[in-house]
Amino acid sequence: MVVDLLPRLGRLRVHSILYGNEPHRIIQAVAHLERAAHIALQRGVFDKIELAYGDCSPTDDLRETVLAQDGEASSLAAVEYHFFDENLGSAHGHNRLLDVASSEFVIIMNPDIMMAPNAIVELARVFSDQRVGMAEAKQLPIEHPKHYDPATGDTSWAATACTLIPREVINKLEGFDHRTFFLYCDDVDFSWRVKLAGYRVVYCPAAAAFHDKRLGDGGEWSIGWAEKYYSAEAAMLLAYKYSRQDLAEEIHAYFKKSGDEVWLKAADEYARRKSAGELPVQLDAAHKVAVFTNNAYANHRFAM
Amino acid sequence: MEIYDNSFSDGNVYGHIASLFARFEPAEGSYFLDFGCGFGRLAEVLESRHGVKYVGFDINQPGLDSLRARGFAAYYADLGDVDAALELVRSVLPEGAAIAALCTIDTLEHLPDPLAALRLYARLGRQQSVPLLVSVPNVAHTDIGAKLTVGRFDYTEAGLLDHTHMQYFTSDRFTSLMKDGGWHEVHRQDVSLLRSDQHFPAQLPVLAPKAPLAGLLAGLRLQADPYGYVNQFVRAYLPGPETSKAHVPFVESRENGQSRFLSVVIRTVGRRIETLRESLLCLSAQTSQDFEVIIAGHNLDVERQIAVEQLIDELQAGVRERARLITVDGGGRSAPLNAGFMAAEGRYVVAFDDDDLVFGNWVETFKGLEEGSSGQLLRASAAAQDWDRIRRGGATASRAISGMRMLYPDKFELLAHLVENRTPLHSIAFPRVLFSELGYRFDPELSTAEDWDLIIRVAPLSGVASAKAVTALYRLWKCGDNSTAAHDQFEWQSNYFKTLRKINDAPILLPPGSAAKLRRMYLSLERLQGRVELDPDESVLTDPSLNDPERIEQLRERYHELVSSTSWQITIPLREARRILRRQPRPRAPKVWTMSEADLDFHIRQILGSASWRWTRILRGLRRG
Repeated sequence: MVVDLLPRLGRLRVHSILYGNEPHRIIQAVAHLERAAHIALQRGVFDKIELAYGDCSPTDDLRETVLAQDGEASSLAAVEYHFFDENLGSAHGHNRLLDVASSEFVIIMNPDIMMAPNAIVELARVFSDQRVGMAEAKQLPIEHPKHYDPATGDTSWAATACTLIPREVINKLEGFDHRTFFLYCDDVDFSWRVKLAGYRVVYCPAAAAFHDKRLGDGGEWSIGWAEKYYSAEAAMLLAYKYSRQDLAEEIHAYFKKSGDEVWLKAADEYARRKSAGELPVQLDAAHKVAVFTNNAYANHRFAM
Repeated sequence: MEIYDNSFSDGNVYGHIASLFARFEPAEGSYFLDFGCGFGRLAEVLESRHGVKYVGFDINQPGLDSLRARGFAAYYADLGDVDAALELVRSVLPEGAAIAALCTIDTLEHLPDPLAALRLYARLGRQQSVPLLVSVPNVAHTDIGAKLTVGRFDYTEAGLLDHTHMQYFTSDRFTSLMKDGGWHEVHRQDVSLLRSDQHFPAQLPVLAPKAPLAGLLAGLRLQADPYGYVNQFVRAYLPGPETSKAHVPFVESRENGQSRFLSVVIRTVGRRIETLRESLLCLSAQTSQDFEVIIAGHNLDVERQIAVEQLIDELQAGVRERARLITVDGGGRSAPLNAGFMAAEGRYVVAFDDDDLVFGNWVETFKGLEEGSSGQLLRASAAAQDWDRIRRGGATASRAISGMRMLYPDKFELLAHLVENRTPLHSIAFPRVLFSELGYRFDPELSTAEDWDLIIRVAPLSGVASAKAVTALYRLWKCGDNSTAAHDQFEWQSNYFKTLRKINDAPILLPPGSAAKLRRMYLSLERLQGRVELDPDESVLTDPSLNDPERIEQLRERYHELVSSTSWQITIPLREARRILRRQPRPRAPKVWTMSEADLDFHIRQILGSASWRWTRILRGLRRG
């Protein structure tokens, strides 16, 4: 008989930020989480699991949908709804949710993530090693192409689409850098600070999470305005923050010459911050953790 | 000669009834009661073979007279008056007489209420467990169905469509009737006729043996059930439970409006639990949950069965209650698919392997296609991606190792599919009726390419509605764990050959638009081979556009080309001179942009048929030369 040794990690809170999401998809995501929580509780990995939504939508129309998921028979001890009444972005939104709770572990999760039943258990498994600071789930059906060590799972950064983080690490890093990052790269930055603090960032291919991403009709990878703008803005800020001002300037110059309206706007915002002295404090001067390669923040196994 | 006076033969209904009767090893001296006996031409055979006493009942006096003249007992009995008939039978049999069998040959179809007659027989036979031998004509004989497609339903004096028939039986309806009448089937020996008495006029393209249409219809009929050539159902029964059905069988609900849209049949041998979990996750995360999941476990040992059951148990309640495991032992790769498709209850069925991935709109896209194309196969686009497996700790996990590649076309093209399969199985959904009603199956003989085989057999019948949306991901395993690696090249080729031969041996339906495509392909091939050089004015059109707006545009182009040609321009004075000589008014130039297809066609013909055009042929020949 093989004994499956799992760590016992105490209390877990799952945080997710809403912005005008479809109610039926929220309900479906909670149903998946509830099942994964049930199995995690049953296996003794956690002894209490709560879910908290922060809503950045213009109105609190989703309040009823969210609170209706808080049932007595649920494996989720509580389902909370926090209406922010302003669009804080993901990093700031998560920080606000982190301010109001004190569980030992937190899962940062996108609201359109549907966890596999064993996902929480598999994410928790790697915390048998106390040096692990982040454990990321495998997204399906489109798996992220970043490289990871097949034997250990160690990787450059973890996407907060679905990632388990010890509270201790969050406290030590004082949460996400929401002053620099609004929507994108807040997770890359957080991952690299986790590494700078001496922890490991681990990818868990056995913990699957369905992320409702689609391909265009011709199979092309298409992104919306917000992803294009905020990831462009974040690219310059991240390079600057990790002591690659040369790269930040190179990206800025490229955007300025691109003629692309969205990239020009992002370049202007970088320039404004620079002249206003609002750029972040620089880290990783020795370039130990940050990876900038082929317009990505990790070596990729393949191009999308 | 009386129309119902048929002689005995071992090959006809009498012979089959006699053969079924023999299986019950009748006791000498027992009674054989024949209801609707007609001329009772099997009486002599039964008495001589088994020493039984034949008694006939009918309302047909000439038949009764014939039997009596031949020395048999025969009585007038109206089966419409059940109580009187029962009283009569009891009165003519001696006290304590043993009954060897009850029989009713080609009679039930003449009765307004055959259920009442069957219950009468049951009252006679139940106490002694007496067998009942029955025959009825088959209204679903291939000949009758084929003729109905061209609007013919030919009553005849006797036979399959006897003008006095009051009931029509298919095998299913006959089976229901007998069950409702309180009889349990124990043997069957149907009479088959390749050409029934309805095979006329034999020159009809739906009947003529070598006509492709007849071949296609007969092929479909034989695929649907084994009774296409059955002329009469001849079956033996023993008394079964009494029933209370009040009426003869009919279809009580035309469609099951409550049925789910889709049945997802997942084939697994239980070795890839981690990818099966991922497949199930893709399903539970669908935007449309109007589907059931049937996991067809193939040759599962106890350990693997438990692992699959645990996966089902892990699912959230709303999905778990729509998921079930069926186990299939034996057979090849097709066996679990066939079992799953037969267990399906949805309007559509789709096959899914235990390593397949789909996007969130997979079911939703199929369902959207159904709204406009109900009954067609539904196909969405699929991307391909290379994957491998890694081992970490004691567990295995899958890993993508390439970008998405669009290997498969975004529209179904039947002609291209005749060459090879271009549709991953989980990107196409089949109407369930193809399996439940028409008898289609994945070919159990094929160890590979069973998906392609099925698609090209059913796509010509139902047609295929395509969506460009990419909804499925086909994982190409680069770690040797796939069907390509599991079967050698010879096996693949051998299976392809079997399928090709199968579809090549039968007529095939092509969808609208195929004639133009085939023509274009044929001409292109001939051009490539240097065999033809077509003149645009010759009768063979090289690339006709058959769609209306395009055709009109093409005609406008041609008209413009003709009237602005040198040939036409230099002959203007000739036409003008002729007009003046004939005192005709000056013609108005036609308004090309308002002309219909017929107008354009007329004017082009006028030019090509004109003397001016004929006289300038040499000029055009010189220019080309």
